[in-house]
Amino acid sequence: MGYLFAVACYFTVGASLLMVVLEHRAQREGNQFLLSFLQDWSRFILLMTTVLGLVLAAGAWLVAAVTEPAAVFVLTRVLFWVWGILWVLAGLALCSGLLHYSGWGAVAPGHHLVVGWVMAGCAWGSLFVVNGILAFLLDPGAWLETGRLLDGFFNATFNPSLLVHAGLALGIGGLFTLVAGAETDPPRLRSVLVRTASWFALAGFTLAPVGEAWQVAVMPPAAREALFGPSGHGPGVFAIGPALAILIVAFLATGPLVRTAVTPRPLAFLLLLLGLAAAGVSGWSREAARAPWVISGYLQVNGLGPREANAARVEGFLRRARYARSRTTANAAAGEPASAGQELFRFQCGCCHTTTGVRGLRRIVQGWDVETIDHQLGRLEKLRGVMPAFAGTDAERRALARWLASLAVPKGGKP
Amino acid sequence: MSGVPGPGLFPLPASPGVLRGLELAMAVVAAVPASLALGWPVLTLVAEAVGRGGAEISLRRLAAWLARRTPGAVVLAIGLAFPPFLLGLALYGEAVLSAAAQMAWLWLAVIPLLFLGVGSSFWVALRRRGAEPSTLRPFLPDVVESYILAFRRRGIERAGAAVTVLCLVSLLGVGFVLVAHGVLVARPDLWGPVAGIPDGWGLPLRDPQLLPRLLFALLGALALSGFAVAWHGADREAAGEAAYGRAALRFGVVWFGAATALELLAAVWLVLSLPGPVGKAALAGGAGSLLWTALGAAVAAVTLAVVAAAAEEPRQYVLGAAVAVAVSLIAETAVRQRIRDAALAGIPDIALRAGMLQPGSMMLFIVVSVLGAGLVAYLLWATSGSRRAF
Repeated sequence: MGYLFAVACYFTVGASLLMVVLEHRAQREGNQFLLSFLQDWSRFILLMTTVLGLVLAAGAWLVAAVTEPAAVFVLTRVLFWVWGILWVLAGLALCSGLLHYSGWGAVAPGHHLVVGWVMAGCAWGSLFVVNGILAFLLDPGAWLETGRLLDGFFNATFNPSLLVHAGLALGIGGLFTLVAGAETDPPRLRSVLVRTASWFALAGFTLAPVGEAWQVAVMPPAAREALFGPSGHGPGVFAIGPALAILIVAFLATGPLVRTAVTPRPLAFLLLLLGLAAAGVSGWSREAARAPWVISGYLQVNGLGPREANAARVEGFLRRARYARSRTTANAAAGEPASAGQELFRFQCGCCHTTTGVRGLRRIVQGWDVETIDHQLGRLEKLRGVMPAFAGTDAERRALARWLASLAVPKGGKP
Repeated sequence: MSGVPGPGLFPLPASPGVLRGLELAMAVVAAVPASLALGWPVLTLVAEAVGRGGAEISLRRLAAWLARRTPGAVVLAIGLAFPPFLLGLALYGEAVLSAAAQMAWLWLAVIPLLFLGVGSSFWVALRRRGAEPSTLRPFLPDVVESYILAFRRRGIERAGAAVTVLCLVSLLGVGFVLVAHGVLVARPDLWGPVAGIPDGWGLPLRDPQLLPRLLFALLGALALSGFAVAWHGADREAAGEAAYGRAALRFGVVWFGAATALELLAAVWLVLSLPGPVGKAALAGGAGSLLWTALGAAVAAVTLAVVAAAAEEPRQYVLGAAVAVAVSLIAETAVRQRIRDAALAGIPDIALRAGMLQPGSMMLFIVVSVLGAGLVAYLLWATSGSRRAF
């Protein structure tokens, strides 16, 4: 869902700017073919923005409220006014988008163009704010010491991250427009659309890998370690993004940009798929660099900060968990692999793992005995570099190990 | 030494009073498009059915007008729902998130329901006959694409009515989930596993508040939708479209009056269904005054609307009714806020801590909001001057 939402945002931001640039040109030249195309195209932008973008934005909050309640609670309070600013800008983009679409032929051309510029400007403003939020999550910078939000917002990764997002917005917007513009008639219209869309995509997919490299260079060492270190996923996956971008740029430079009149739609679609894959890899890299943190150095994916995790190791996690069914590990110690371990799984593993489905632990612990699981639980943070350390007492860790071991399916039987 | 408190201690971003005031204002603003999004599909279907059956062309035209504007209402409803949600999270995060976790699967079902609701509302509004070439063609199958675009002035036809039913059912589903969530928020005894509810399937079906709350929300949506139609009718009549304007005005006033009358009964049922101390808090002191203000303003609004339907110059009466509706809505929202506070009064963790105020970012928000309001005013001015009447 996060990926689809990102694509919808990139498209809205990039395509709205491209549309208004083309509208400006069409009005200046009196190009009725281009104006007709844009009137039609603005409908697609509106549908992508509302049906996909708006609903996915709502969906992202709904999902996060259930899967990461602690993160939602903290991010709401820490970034409260930033969310407010983002809402104002996104709302303006949405309203002006609705007015722009319904205003074709009904509003004076000059005013219609201004409405389009407002839409594009607010969409880019939203991108600026979203970029600040994402940069803050990756590297809160001096905010951890000063508590000043601006210190966290405009941190070292802000500018490179902005370059990445701006590049992807230009690129995705350009490639979608390229698909729509390829094979349109008359040829003169096609030529204008293909050339302009190709320049947008070319600029975007040139900027994005530059931003990616810059971001890696300035990101905190822990994030770089999470992304490239021996416990991370290695540079291979990260490199796919820039490689795809180079491929797209090469295709554009040798194809649509030099043969604007004969760009086949299948080629445009292929480029779009490559662009969507590049955007996916970029998002994945950002998430991988942040793991296992929601806000680096402040809040982990299990909803605990460093101080809370340390306290849980001393005092016990279940004692501090308000909604735990079981507060002690007594029954687990007595040989019942039940409530305590299951509760610890729900609180500490359940945000990323299921028992049998996504990242299912039954499959992972298959063939392991309690001692092996207990040993691994004691070094979770070193296993793949993307998990927080277990936060609890030794007894709680053993209770969890016992419950996980009970998940394993014995050979030829059911658990 | 870090200047930032731990995640479990992070204080409110502003004083509770400021946040509660904002929540009240934004909840009132959000209630309008949310009501229209829920009520207009009903009115569309009825106007289309009555118009088709009785050969009343004005009502079919009204159905078309409603269908064309429903997507905008749905989009605004989703967009404007965000501030009250955000403020609710900031003020009562534990309650909102605990209730969401308790009914997680239904909570998540809102996403596909929204897709259906938004998508189908646009489908009805933009569909067309034939398969003219368009930029949607590369991205959508012809059969889907060919139904999207310009709207006809007459009716929504059978296919449009069928999809409007889908839109209505989807949005009713969203409304049901949100009302059920609201009930759970006010039931701390049902949060967490101590309640013995299977994970993610908690639903307060046996809570005596659920049904009156649902009825209250639905009837309120119909009432506000009817009033918006009455406003539109009065506006059209003043613009010289006498027959259509009068038909829309009467249609709207009938719905507004009937739904408001029933909503008042639902309100009484709702107050009676509240647990003892919460009910007392809703009727005592300032909350009691607000409750009576809401009821009185609603009665005044209906009276003015009925007078407008019979008057030769209805606009002034409709304007007066609009003021009364606004007063009623504000008072009603304030009462609901007090009821929720009373329900959560015994929960120590809901204590509102104002510690780390964020004056810089708050000022920036105010500046952006003021500029945004100016921009919206400009956009409306720039696009309304030469806009077509329909």
